[in-house]
Amino acid sequence: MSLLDVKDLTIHFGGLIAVDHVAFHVEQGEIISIIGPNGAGKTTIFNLLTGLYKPTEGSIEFDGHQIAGKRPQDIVRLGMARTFQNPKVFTKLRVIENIMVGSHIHTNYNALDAVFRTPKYRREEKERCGEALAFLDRMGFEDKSDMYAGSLPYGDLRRLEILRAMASNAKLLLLDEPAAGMNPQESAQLVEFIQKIAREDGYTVILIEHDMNVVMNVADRIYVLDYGQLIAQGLPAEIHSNPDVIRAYLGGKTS
Amino acid sequence: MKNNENTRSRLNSFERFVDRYKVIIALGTAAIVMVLPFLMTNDYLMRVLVIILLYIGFGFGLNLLLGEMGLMSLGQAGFVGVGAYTTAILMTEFGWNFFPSIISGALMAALVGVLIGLPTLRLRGSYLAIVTIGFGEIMRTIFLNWSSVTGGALGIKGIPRPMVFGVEMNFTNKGFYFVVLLTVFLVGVFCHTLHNSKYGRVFATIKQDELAATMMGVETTRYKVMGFVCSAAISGLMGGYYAMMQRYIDSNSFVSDMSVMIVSCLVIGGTATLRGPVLGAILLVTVPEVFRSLQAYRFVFYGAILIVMMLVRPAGLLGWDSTLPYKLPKGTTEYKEQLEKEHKRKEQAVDKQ
Repeated sequence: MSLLDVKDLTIHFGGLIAVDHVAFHVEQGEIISIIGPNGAGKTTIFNLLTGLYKPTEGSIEFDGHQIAGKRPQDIVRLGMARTFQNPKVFTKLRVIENIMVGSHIHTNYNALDAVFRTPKYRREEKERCGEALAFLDRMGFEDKSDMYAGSLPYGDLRRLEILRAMASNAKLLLLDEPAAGMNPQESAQLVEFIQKIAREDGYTVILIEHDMNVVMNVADRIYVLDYGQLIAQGLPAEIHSNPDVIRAYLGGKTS
Repeated sequence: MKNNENTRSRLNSFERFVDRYKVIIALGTAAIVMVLPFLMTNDYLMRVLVIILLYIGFGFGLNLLLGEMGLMSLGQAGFVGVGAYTTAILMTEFGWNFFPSIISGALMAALVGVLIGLPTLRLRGSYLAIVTIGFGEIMRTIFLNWSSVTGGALGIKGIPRPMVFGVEMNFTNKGFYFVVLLTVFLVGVFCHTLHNSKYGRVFATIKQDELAATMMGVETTRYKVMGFVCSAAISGLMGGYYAMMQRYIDSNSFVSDMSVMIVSCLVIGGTATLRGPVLGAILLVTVPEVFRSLQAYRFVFYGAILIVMMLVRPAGLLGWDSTLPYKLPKGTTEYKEQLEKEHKRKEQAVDKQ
């Protein structure tokens, strides 16, 4: 069974069909890339998967659960987390606090526990904080945990957003243009990083990306969208030479 | 430019100094606060002290909304009024002791907080500010016109001072001051503990980016309602003391001037901290008392100060992010080491395979 199985996914915004009967599937441990020209509906698909939009039609099965139309908070709890095109890191919080917000759904004490500093509060804060520190160490952020996220360089900011998503213990990570605005060196590091978390740590990744170097290097399979429709799918090498894809990106006569 | 940098670095070292010696500063403040009433030679000065305490409490209440979550409320006087009226009615009409009365006042204000919180949750910034102004005005109108309960334009008079073990707590025996002080202290502890928990973190995420918070699984609506309820309850609680201090309340006690003054305390003193409202209340209550002759121009000054603050130091005089390292909960390092050991063991197991 696939980790994520999307069928007939459709959403209309008034007269505009932003996503039109799109079907795709993602297997455990894969790195999938969704590409397409601007306005093709890539981010809309992420918004549908994460529950920000309710699909007009179609089904989304994630890890055995039907999630189409569910609230974002419930979907996060099932193990799906995302990043955004413009990094939405909490810049006024410290790096470690950002990670602890990431593990918010695993922090279960209530307000009375917090106010009266009950053992439950102490234990959970200790555990979440310890996990966050160990996690940051493993991911090469060990000397940055005290810093305010706003003072991080851009590349680190984007990586921190991915780390925060991982801290929710997600199985599936949706990365929306993680390499946007990065220089070649930073995006090479990012490729390495994404491969590491997929191959070694067992995360499944879907990424939207415009940087073809990143996509071709990192993706196991690629889906290509244009005007809300899936126009091609396959291995990076196949997509690279697909005439429909070249036409969608560069324009040309319709066949 | 150079001058600017100089002030900045001097400010930085001031911030670091305060952060480093915060325990000593807190203890010093506590000592002053305990001794101060005994230096006050008359009831008028005691009254000024109590008003400062009340505004510190109002400031703590608003801080939960404006400071922590970035939700602007210009209707805090409405919550204060609900608490004050509830307390006053229970004490005068029903002869209740002050303690159950103020608790009821706080609960009543909390209830109103739910009612105002739920429908306004989608609003932020200026939109929320306008709605809360409306809320304040509605409450004032209710206080004025619901004569059978609130006494209408005549208000409620003869509100007794709190009795503790049969002793009346008033200005002359300084008892009223200490009762209010204890309450404000407990409210401060409440806000502090909430701030240093997942609630503080979640409030901060709501302030910065609600969408991102939602995507981390935060039930933003629930936390916002909770913030509204706590803020209203604190305001209502302090409102009860306000009624007991004035001994007489009417609808003119809870006009928008009070709401603006509460906002000013927070914005001038510093948002998202507890030291902010303390300084703000001290400044905003004492300065007008000293410059009594300029009383009529008070709000002109507030306005001017607010504008200058927003431009120069939007987080308030004492509103800065801690310069200290993150305070780890007790036992964190040990727990982390234990996790790392387990991780290593797992990795070795994988390698052997």
